[in-house]
Amino acid sequence: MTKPPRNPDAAPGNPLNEPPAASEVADLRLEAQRELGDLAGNWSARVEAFDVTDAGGVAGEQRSLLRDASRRFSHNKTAMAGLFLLVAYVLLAIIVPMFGDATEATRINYDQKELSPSWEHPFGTDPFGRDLWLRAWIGARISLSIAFAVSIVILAVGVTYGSLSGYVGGRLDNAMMRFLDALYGLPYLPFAIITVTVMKDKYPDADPIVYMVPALSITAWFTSARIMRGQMLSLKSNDYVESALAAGASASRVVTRHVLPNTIGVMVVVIFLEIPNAILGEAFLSFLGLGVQPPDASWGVLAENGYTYIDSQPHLIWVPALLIASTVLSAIAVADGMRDALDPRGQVH
Amino acid sequence: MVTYILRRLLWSIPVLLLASLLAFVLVKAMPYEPFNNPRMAPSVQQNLRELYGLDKSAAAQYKDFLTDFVQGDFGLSTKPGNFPVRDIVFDTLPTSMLLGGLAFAFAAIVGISLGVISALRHNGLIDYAITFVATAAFALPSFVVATLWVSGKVYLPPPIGVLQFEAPYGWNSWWDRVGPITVLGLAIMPYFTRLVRASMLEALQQEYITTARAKGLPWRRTVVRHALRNSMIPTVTNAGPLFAFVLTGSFIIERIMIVPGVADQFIEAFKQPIDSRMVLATTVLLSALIIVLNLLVDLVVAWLDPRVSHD
Repeated sequence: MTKPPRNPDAAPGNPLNEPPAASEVADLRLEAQRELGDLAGNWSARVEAFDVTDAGGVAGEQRSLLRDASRRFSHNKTAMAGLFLLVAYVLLAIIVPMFGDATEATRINYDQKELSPSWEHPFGTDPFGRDLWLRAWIGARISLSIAFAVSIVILAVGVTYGSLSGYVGGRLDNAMMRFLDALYGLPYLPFAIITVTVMKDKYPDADPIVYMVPALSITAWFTSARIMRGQMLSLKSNDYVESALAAGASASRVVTRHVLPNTIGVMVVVIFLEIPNAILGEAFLSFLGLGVQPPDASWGVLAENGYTYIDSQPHLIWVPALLIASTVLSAIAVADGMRDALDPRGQVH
Repeated sequence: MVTYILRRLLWSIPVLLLASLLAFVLVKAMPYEPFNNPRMAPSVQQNLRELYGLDKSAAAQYKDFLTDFVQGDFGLSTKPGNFPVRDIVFDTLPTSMLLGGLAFAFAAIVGISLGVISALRHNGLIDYAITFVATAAFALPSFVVATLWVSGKVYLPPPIGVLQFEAPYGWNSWWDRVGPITVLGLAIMPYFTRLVRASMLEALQQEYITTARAKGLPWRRTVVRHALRNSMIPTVTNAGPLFAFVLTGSFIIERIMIVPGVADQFIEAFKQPIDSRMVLATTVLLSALIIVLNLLVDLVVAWLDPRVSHD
């Protein structure tokens, strides 16, 4: 018996009116099973990913999302260039001071003052004969570690505040958001300066990071709290949250194991969005003489030094300025690239 | 609408109280012993402490500060001269506000225009050029731009080299004022450009634009009346945080470009011995300023966007 063509439109007459032959039924059943099997396979993968029983967390789904995102990210040239530059700066900040003679960075040596950039001193020397190349990368240690620490503190506070507010909801959410609205009115600079002064008084001999991080985060965590609350609100209505709750998971477990892992992408974006603000904030305060204090040389301190010699040695301000600007641009490029990679349709709010 | 305005006005009172409380607590935590001078007789020290109300409990001091503050009495500075803080602030703050206001206006006009042009020429050469300028203006710290401006040097590629010109800065004549206003404006401009460009691009893809065009509305009118008006909403909403940013930026530009604003007085107040009255009064005053400006922003948004409920 000849097999009727599968497409009814192409059939002579109407095959749907004829009872199908047994072999054909078997054929169709096989095909249907294959399709259903695919579906079922997908479905079980999904169920595993959402993990009602709390065994593997959301790792399955998360990994594939992250793999997808990192593939998209690696195709974004601007973002990759930014990431490359940031990594290079971090490596230089680690390596250069290790090989350089640390005393070169602080020792005053008038024999080699005001040298222009050369092989021996790639960034030249300042009016005290200090090697700017070494000082720039020692400064990078301070500036970059402050920036990363500030972003992580901001993220931690934002995650805690935002998830509490968003997850509990209701009156608490309302009160917490109103409080946040109120805090938005705080002027950044006065509070940052006051905090620096308080912290410096409490810990006079501490590392700059001890007083700069609180100062730069005190009025900077509001946006990250808002973003995390928004994430929490949109994720907590998902079925897998309800099923985890139905399976008896506690609220804190649902938040930490099911909801927060799904916001990792957003968290990374928040970190990279905060780095430019922290870098510029540190430079601002140090430039005003209220942040990092010499002999500690952050990029802001270097710029402040260079400011005095703008007429005789313009590279003294250009070097820290371009280091600051390129770091800021790279962090923005990375943040934008990650946002696009994680959510190709639109931006993360 | 009237109840909405009233409610927003009332809401700003607890906000201001919170800002003042936070400022007060932080200022109290600062190292502040202006009268621990060993060369002063203990009785004189005691008298001074009483004069400044430092012998009272913290709660009483906060209450005194609030009652004095709302009556326009900001206390006496502890710096040499002991001028009333009110006089210092009112001598300098208007200059800062003028600088900030003009720079903000400059940034808004230039930034919004560039954003609109950029969106209309999406992915064209002009779009890339504007995006490049806006990004560079964002990434270069404003103190660097100010320093370069004051030095009057323009760095061009090798065959031309460095050009020297006489750049205006200072605050004596209107010509001098062009300098600080432009530099501060340049620091704020990228925020407008980025926001307007993004929201214009989104607005231009909406169906109401197609509808307006299909109804035969000229392109220029469609852009101005439909796309621009709608894309102004996110821009105005984000203007609030920008005011705080203007303050931050103006502090540094006032110092470099020699503007007799509040920045010098404020930063001076942090030098030992710390002038806590000055710090407290200025901080609360600046908070009040930002809160009022945010209130204005909300009212403008309510007027621009009929969807915002006023109940």
